[in-house]
Amino acid sequence: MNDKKIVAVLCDHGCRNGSKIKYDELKTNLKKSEVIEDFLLVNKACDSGVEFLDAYKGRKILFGGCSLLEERGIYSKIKERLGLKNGEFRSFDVKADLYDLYPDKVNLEELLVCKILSMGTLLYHAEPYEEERIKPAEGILVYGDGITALRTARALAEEDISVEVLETGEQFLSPGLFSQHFGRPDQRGLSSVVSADERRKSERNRVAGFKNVRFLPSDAFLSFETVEDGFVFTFKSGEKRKFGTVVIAPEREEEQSRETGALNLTDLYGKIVCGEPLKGEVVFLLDYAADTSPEVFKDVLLAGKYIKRRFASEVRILMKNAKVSVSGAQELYDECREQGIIFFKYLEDLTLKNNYGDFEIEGTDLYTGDKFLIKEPDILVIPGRSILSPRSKNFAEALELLTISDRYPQPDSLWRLPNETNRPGVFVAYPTGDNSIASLLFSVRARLSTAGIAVNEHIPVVDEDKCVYCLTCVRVCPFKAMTTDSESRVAKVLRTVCQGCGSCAAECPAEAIQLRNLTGESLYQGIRALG
Amino acid sequence: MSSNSVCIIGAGISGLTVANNLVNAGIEVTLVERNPYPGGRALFYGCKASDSCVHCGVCLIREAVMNFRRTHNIKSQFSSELTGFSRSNGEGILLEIETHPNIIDWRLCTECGKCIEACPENAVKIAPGWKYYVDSGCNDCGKCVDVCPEGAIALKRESMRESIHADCLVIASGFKPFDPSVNRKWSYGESPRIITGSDLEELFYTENYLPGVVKKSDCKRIAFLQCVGSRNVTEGGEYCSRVCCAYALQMAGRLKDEFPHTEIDFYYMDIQHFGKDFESFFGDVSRKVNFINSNPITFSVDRADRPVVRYESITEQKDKEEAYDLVVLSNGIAPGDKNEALAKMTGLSLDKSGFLYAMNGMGGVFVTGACKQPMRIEDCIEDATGVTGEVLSYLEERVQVK
Amino acid sequence: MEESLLIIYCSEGGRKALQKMSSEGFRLPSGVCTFELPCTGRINDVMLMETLQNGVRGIFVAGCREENCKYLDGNKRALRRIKRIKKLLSDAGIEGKHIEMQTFGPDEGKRLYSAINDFAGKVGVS
Ligand SMILES: Cc1cc2nc3c(=O)[nH]c(=O)nc-3n(C[C@H](O)[C@H](O)[C@H](O)COP(=O)(O)OP(=O)(O)OC[C@H]3O[C@@H](n4cnc5c(N)ncnc54)[C@H](O)[C@@H]3O)c2cc1C
Ligand code: SF4
Ligand code: SF4
Ligand code: SF4
Ligand code: SF4
Ligand code: SF4
Repeated sequence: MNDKKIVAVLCDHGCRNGSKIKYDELKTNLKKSEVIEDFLLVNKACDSGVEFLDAYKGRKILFGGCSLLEERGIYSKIKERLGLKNGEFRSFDVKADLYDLYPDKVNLEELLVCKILSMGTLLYHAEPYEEERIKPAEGILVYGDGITALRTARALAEEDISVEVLETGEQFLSPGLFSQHFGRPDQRGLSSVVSADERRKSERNRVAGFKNVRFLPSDAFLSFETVEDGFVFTFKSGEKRKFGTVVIAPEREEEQSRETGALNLTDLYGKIVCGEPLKGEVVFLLDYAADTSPEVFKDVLLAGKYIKRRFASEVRILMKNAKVSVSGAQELYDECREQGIIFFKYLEDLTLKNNYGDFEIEGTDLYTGDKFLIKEPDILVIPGRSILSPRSKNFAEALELLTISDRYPQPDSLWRLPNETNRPGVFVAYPTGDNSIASLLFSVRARLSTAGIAVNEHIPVVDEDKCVYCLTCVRVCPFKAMTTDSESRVAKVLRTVCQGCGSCAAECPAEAIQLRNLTGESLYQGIRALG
Repeated sequence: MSSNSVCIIGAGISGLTVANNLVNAGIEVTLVERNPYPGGRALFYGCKASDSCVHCGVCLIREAVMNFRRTHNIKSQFSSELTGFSRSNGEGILLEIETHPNIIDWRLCTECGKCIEACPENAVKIAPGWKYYVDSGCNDCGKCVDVCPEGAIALKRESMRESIHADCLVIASGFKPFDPSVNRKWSYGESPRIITGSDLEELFYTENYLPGVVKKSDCKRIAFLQCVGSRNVTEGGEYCSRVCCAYALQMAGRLKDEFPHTEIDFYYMDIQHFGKDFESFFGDVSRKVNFINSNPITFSVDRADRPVVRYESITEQKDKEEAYDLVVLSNGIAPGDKNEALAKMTGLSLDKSGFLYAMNGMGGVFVTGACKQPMRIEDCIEDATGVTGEVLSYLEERVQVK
Repeated sequence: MEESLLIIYCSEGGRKALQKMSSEGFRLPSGVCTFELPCTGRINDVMLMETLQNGVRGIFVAGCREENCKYLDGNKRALRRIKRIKKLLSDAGIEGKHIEMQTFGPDEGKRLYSAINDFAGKVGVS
C-alpha cells in the first residue's frame, strides 16, 4: 500500500451559474479525512499555468476541473511537470459529474466533499506504476490462401515481416471469386473466371518469391496456446512456433442445395468453366432456403446476364426481395431487366415440386397477383448461403473466437472494426466494404507499430495464495486474457490481452483477483465515502 | 524526417476517424469543417435500441466526438471551407481555406449556458457532446456577448482566408440527405404529419419520438415509406441508398416498443440486408410492423389533417387509401452539394450519380466516407481506417523517394 | 445517510445517458450519489452487500444496452448477477427492490431520469 497522501485541487472558476461554494467549510471537512492532506483552490485552472503545484511535488494529485482542462492538455502538463506516474494522478469533471447533475438549491459542499473523498479514496489506494508497453512477437500467421490472404501476406512480406501462410492447397471456385472479377463491365464470362484463378496463382507465385514467407499445409496445425506476446502454435511435426499476430482469411463456401437436381451457384460456375452449354430455360430461385444476401444477388445477376448473352437462353429470376445494397447492383439490376431477363417477385405461397430432378414451381406474382407455373426448367439454380468452410470454422473455433452460427467468425460489435475479434491479436478478413483489405492491413500494422501494446490500467492481479484454481476467470474473460499456470496451479493474466473490464474480479469466488488501481477494497471505501 | 501534415475536409464520422488514426501515428492533422461543430450529419441522430442495441452506430458518433475533444493536438477549423487547391511543384499541396466567423470560440467556451439563456432569438444551440454554437436567426443584438464570462463570443462578420500547406488531402465531405420537397408527389411540407427519416432521427435524439402535432395517446397508425429519392432516376438517384431500410426498420421497432398500440405499416420496394445478424433482427421486426410491398401512388391530406396514402394493393387487386397519423418518408443519401466544386478543384471525377470517384493516392488526394458512395456509419469507419492506411503508405513512400 | 441512493454507472452508455440527462436540464434528486465504473461487469455481490450494509437505501445500476458492451458481455453478466442477488435478498427476507439495474443507450437521458425517479420512489427516497 502506498501511503502518499493526496492533495485535492479544485478549479473555482464557477463555470456554473451562481455556484457559491463555502470553501472554508469544504476545506475543514476534507482535512478531517485521513486520505486528503491538503486542499487547494485555483481560479481558472485552464489559464493559470501549472507552476503553482510545484510546491506539492511528491504528493498524489486529485484534480477537479471542467472539460477544458483536458481539451487544452493541462492534465498531461501537470503529470509531466510533477513527474507523476499513473496511479498518482486522477481527475474528474466537476461540472459534468457534479454541478450539472444536481439542482441549484442542493448543498453543494456536502456533495463536493463526498465526491472528493470518494475519488480521493480510489486514488489513495492506487499503486503507482510506469506505463508499460509490450511488443508482440515477430512473425505473422496467415490462415487461408484466397486472394485476400495472399494480398495480406504480400503486403506484410514487403515490409520485411516474416509471414507463414497456412494454405489449403485446394482449389474451388468461391462465389466471391466470381463476382469480384465478373463484375467488371469489360471482362465477362468464362475468361474472367479463369483469369481470376490465374491471378490468384500468380499472386501465390509472387508471395512465394519472398524469402520471409513460408507456406504450410493447413492440416499441419495441431494446437495453440496464448502467451503474453502472442500465440504459440504446435504443428503436427512437433514443431512449435510463436506468432505475434494471426490473420484469418476464412475460406467460404456455398451451402449445398437441398433439392437433388438443383444447382447452387458454385455448381453453376463449374458448368460455366467447363464450357457446358446452358441452353433453354434457366431459372434462379432466390430467397428460398434462406434470405439471399446482396453479394449473392449481384452474383446471380452477373451469371444470369452472362448466360443470357452467351447462350441466348431464357433466364428467369424468382425472388422475394431484390437485394441491391452493394455498389453497382441497382444499375446491374436495371440492365438485366432491359436485356430481357424476367424477374418475378413471388409471395409466401410458393411451392416447389421435385420429381427426381424435374421441377415444378408454382407461385403468385406479387405485381400482377397472377399465379405462375414454371414446369421442368432446363436448369434450376438455388443459391445457397455463403458459409465458413468446415476447416475455417474449426480453425476459428480452435482459437476460441466467438463464432456465431456457421457464417461468421465474429458477431457484430460496434466497438471493434469488422476485422478485429474478441481475441486481441487475431484478425479476420471479413469482406464488407471496398476497403476491407486496407483496413485489415491498417489494424495489423497498428499492432506491430514500434511502441507496442499498452498494458491496461486496470489489469487484474491474482493473489496466488487465494486462488483455488477453479478457472472461473478463464471461463468468464471475454477476451480470453486469463490462462492457467499448470505448474503453480494459479490463474495468470496475459497483460497484452486484458482490457480491464473487471468481469474476472467480479466473479472469482475466492476473491483472489484485484484490479490494478480499482481494487475491491478501494471500491468499497470509495463508495462508502459517498455516504 | 520532416513531420508530415494532412488536411482533412469534413469532420463527420469518416473525417474524425481518419484524424484520430493519423494523430495516433504522429502525423500533423488539420481538420476543416463547414459546421461550427464536429460529428457531421449523424450528430443529431438518436439511439434506436429496442429491447437491446440494434447496432445503429450512433454511439460511435458520440464516442468519436468525445475522443476528438480529448485529443488536444488536432488543429481544427470550424465554419470553414476549402476554396482553393493548387500543387506547389512537387512539394505537396497548397490549400486555401475560408473561415466564416465562429461567433462562439469553442476553445474558450466553458459550457456555462449563459448565452443560451440570454439569446432572445433562440439562435444559440448546443451540439450533442460538444459545445454551444450560434445558428441562423442571430440578429446581432449582442446580449450573449455581454453575458459570456469567458469573452468567448464575438459578433464579427467578416470571413478570413488562409493558405495552408499539406502533403495529403483527405476528402470526407459526406452527403446530403435527399430532400423530398423537390417533388410534389410526397407532399412534404404540406402537413406537419409528414416528416422525413432525418426529422424522425432528430425526434429520436430528443426522445420525443413523435412530432408535436401527433399526440401520443391518439397516434394509432404510422406509415414508413421507403426508397424516397432512391432507386428511381426520375425521382432521385438510381442507386440504393443502403441506409434507409436499416434505420427505418430500427426506428419502427423502437416506435412499436414505445407505443405498443400503434400500428406501423411499412411500404417498401425491397428490404435490404445489413449487419451480420440481419435475419434475427428482421425476424423480430416483422412481428412488429406490417409489410406492404408497394410504392404509393399519391398522397393527400384529409379533412382531419391526416395524411392519406393511396397505393395499389396487390392482395386485393385494387387501389386503396389509408389515412395515417404520421407518415415517415425514409429519405436516402444524395451526393453532397459541394461534390462538383470539390471535384473540379482537386481534379477528381464524379460518378454518374454525382458521388466522388475515388482514385485514392493519385497526387495525394484521398476520398473516404459517404461522399464516395452511400454508407452506414460502421462502413464509414472501416473505410476511413483503410484510407488512413493508404495515406500512411503514401506518406512513407514520399519520404523514401525524397 | 439514511436517505441516500447510489447510482453506479459505466463509463460508456451509462455515462453518456447521464450527461444527456443533465444537458436536457433534468436534475437528480438530492439524496442521490453517483459512482463510475469502467464496466458494470465489475459489480458483484460483495460490492452490493457492502454498500447496502452501509446504510444506502437503494442501488441503481445504469449500464449499456445489451449487445453494445465495449467488453462484449459485461452488462449481461451484471444483469444476471443482479437478478440472482435480488432473489437471494428476497429469500433472506430483505426486499429485492433495493437493487435495480437497467440498460441505456447514449441518448436516453429522459428515460434514465424517469427510471431513477421511479426507483427512488420505490425505495422511498424523495
Ligand atoms: C435519414 C438518415 C438516417 C441515417 N441513419 C443512420 C443510422 O441509423 N445508422 C447508420 O449507420 N447510418 C445512418 N445514416 C447514414 C449516416 O448518416 C452516414 O453514414 C454518415 O453520416 C456518413 O458520415 P460521413 O462522415 O461520411 O459524412 P457526414 O456525416 O455527412 O459528414 C461530412 C462533414 O463534412 C462537412 N463538409 C461537407 N462539405 C464540406 C466542405 N466543402 N468543406 C468543409 N466541410 C465540409 C459537413 O459539414 C459534415 O460535417 C443515415 C442517413 C440518413 C440520410
Ligand atoms: S476465478 Fe479466482 S480462484 Fe478461480 S482460478 Fe481464477 S483467480 Fe483463481
Ligand atoms: S479484467 Fe476483463 S479482460 Fe482483463 S482478465 Fe479480467 S475479465 Fe479478462
Ligand atoms: S441502438 Fe444505436 S445508439 Fe443505441 S445503443 Fe445501439 S448502437 Fe448505440
Ligand atoms: S456564455 Fe460563453 S462560456 Fe458560457 S456557454 Fe456561452 S459561449 Fe460558452
Ligand atoms: S436501403 Fe432500402 S429504402 Fe433505402 S434505397 Fe435501398 S431499398 Fe430503398
